[in-house]
Amino acid sequence: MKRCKGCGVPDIVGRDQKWSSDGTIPITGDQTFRMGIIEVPVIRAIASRLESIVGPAIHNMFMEGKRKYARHYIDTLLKGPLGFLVRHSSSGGKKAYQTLLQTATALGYGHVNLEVYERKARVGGTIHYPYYTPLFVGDVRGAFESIEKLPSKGSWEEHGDTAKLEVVKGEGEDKLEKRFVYDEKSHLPGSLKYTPCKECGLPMELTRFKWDLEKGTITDTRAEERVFIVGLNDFNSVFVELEEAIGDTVPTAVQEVNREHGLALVKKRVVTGYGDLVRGAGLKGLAYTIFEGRSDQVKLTFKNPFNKHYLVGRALGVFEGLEGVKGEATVKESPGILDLTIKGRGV
Amino acid sequence: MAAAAPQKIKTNKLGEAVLNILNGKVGAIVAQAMLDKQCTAIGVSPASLRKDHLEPLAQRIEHVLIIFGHDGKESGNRIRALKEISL
Repeated sequence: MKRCKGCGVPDIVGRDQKWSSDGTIPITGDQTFRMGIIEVPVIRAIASRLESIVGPAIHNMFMEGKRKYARHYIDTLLKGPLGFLVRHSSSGGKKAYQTLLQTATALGYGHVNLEVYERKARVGGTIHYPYYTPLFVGDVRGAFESIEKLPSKGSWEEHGDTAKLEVVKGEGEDKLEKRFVYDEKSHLPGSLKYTPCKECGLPMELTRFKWDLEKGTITDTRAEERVFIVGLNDFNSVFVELEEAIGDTVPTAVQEVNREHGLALVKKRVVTGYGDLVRGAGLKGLAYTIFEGRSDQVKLTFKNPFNKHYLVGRALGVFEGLEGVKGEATVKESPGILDLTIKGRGV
Repeated sequence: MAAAAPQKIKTNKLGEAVLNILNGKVGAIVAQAMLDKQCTAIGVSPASLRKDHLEPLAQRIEHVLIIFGHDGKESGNRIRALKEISL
């Protein structure tokens, strides 16, 4: 897999994603579809906390959300003659999976060996260093459904740093087809500026991330933690469905995990001021953020915000770390905007 | 982190019967949160549930149970059947 000589980012990442001035990372070919950079420990902590509330069903929910996103993403990539070739030539299907798995490696999902492929019936293999296995199985199911144009079922078995996965043709009515749907939000302009790489034009700020293409991992060298690049809509779809089913428990868990993570980033001195939070949210495709500090409070305006509870939690953790007191959040929402004011609790 | 022990929500006898149906499907924590949320959605509390609330409640529970991998219809029908039981 080729990398840019200027910034070291795999070519495939710059080809399929665009870092926009409005705090989003849309995919090439579909401006409405957002990608984002998420920390692996955060998604694992959210999944683990939700598992303690909801039970193991949470992993299937994440797989379902991801399946829809992956199918949409691959349908976008396989438009026109390329899609026809992949779906109808004798070797096109297997090659398409291999190419897509290379993309997965570049997005930080781990490294996959494709071991079984039976056209229109079965795909299987071993994932090394999976970021979060249910999401990876959702990816492969999405690929299967896009390439084979058939419904799918997926299963996996984890063994330490590897996992065996299998996706097979599904049968009967898919009761979840109309669930975990995209939540399209209003889109507002922004004026984020990055230093462009002279070779590929991607933000040079991405050099803080190191790609290990053998393992399929991306490391944020400032935070010393693994991250991955993912469609944000599928996360939101899981949170939205769960909130509709069981109420505040889920948003509270998402917010709390992010508060703890924001606080940890300050303690590790990865975040040393609100500017780091603002720039980090933009570079990770989570929001275009405007910061306004006052003597008694902090005001953050997130335009094009990814999940409200995720951002509020992260901001509360950073506030707590920087100010040394717990924060109290007041949130106002309007289309495409999340206004957050944080005051010290009891101050 | 383990989830905190569920704080029991207040229910009347009908609410308790619905809760028993949900407990068997999704466990006590989720069952309570689900009953509370779905009752709120139809404008009632689990402590003031009446038989005429059972149909809209059953419909909502059928809808949300599917994402937990269950056949919502079966539970929905058991909730509807509570109309015929004297509580």
